[in-house]
Amino acid sequence: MGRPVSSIVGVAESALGTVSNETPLRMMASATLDALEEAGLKLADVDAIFTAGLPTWSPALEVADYLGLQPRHVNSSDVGGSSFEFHVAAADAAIAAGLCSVAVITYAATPRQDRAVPPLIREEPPYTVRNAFERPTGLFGPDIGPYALAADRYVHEFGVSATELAEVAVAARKWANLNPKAFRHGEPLSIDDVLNSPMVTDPLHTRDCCLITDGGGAVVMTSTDRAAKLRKQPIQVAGYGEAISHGSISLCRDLVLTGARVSSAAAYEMAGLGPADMDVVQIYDSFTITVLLSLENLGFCGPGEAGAFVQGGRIRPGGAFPLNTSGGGLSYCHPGRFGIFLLIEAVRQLRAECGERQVPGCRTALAHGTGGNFSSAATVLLTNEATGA
Amino acid sequence: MPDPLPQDPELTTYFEGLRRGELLLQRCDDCARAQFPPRIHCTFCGSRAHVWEPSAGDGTVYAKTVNRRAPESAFEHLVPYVVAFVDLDDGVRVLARADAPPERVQTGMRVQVVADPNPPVGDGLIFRIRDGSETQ
Ligand SMILES: [Zn+2]
Repeated sequence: MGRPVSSIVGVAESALGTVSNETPLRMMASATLDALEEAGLKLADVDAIFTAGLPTWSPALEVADYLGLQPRHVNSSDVGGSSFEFHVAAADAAIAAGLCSVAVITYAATPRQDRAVPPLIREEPPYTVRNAFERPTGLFGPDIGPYALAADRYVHEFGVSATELAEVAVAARKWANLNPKAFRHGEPLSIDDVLNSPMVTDPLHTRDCCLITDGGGAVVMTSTDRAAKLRKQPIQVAGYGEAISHGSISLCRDLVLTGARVSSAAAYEMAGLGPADMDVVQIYDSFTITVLLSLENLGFCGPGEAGAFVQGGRIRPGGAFPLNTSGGGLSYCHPGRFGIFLLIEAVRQLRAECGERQVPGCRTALAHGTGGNFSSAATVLLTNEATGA
Repeated sequence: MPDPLPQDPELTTYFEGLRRGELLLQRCDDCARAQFPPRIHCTFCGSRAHVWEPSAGDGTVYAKTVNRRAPESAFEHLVPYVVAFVDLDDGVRVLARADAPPERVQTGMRVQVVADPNPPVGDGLIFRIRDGSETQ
């Protein structure tokens, strides 16, 4: 694999939280227009659309219709919440191959507006593994049961405590309290609050689980050559890596060795960087266990060490390892596929735009998406410095 | 009336087995490895030749979770209940619900997986704790 050729030149969120009277299409368009404006690009400059998750036969075509574009290149590949980290890889490759010049990656969903409770059973044909082999056992779906199984295995192998898991949620809340856009901004959360919240599927409490909010976002990418002439400081894609370990949790071979091991190794190699080079880290936090397993598999600590690694304020504001500085899916927003927000926050940290929650001296950032039931993993490394040819 | 079975040679064989109280596993005729769930081919070597073997159901709990809420109404009378991955001695991993209260189920313990005689939804597996496998 060669070095990446592209940079991120614009990012934006749509309305977040509880959004009324606005469709996901309008929210995606709103974020796309804002991200293009930031870059100094026009809608007509866009010739590629990457999106996932809109419940329609072809999400990218639906978005293209709404934007009024006839793009040269589209990609609706959906691997869950990490789809947008996969899209960064695909967009970089498409730009390198000359398939497109300006790519928009966008997403929005309104699970809160649509109904208070998400579906517990996926609407799928009877022959999928989930419907044929998992549903008859009563596994709590579609996500929390599988993640609880991973957490149980992790506890069994390494003896991590509920308190250590809870620290991930508490640290996320501390960051959210520095982010005015965060859904839980202004609401304190203690370790005891997490441990005393109702157990849903052991060992995961309610407060070990991500939020359900409305929201959306957009990321604009173009070649690093073109990026140099645009309005904003370009954020270079330094490396990326992808991994698919399984679709259904029943096909997962090892619940504590995740795809992050493979995806991050590829990303580090492409960038010529390692875990120690990262100044700020954004890890998909669908559940507290997702963060601990990702920290280990991304190489920030050894197997079984993540519970101790996050203690002592290390991942809280002011700590030595700034993690999920937006407040994450646990406390900032989570419309169903959080991966796009990992990229947006990483870019803003690298541009030093984060106000109270800004990590000083950020040069390199890692965004790691996890999709499905630890099914898909993609790691994106970003930098605000020229990485050389 | 049980739900209609999927119209698929391997799935039909498997689920008809469950309805007779048998847990049938596919074993490859070429590389001799067992696989689950059943399919047209062996995922290890690609062979389409397999035999069906009844499993004794003996295995070890790989991971478990306690459902404090039911994912659908058919399971409400069972709450709280354990769902676990069981690594069968045959060499495959299956998902099953515990036919035992949550406090008795431990990850790493020996259990026996059998067809669920009263499946709340579809056709599935349950497991029972083997005598002498509980630690104090
Ligand atoms: Zn074989």
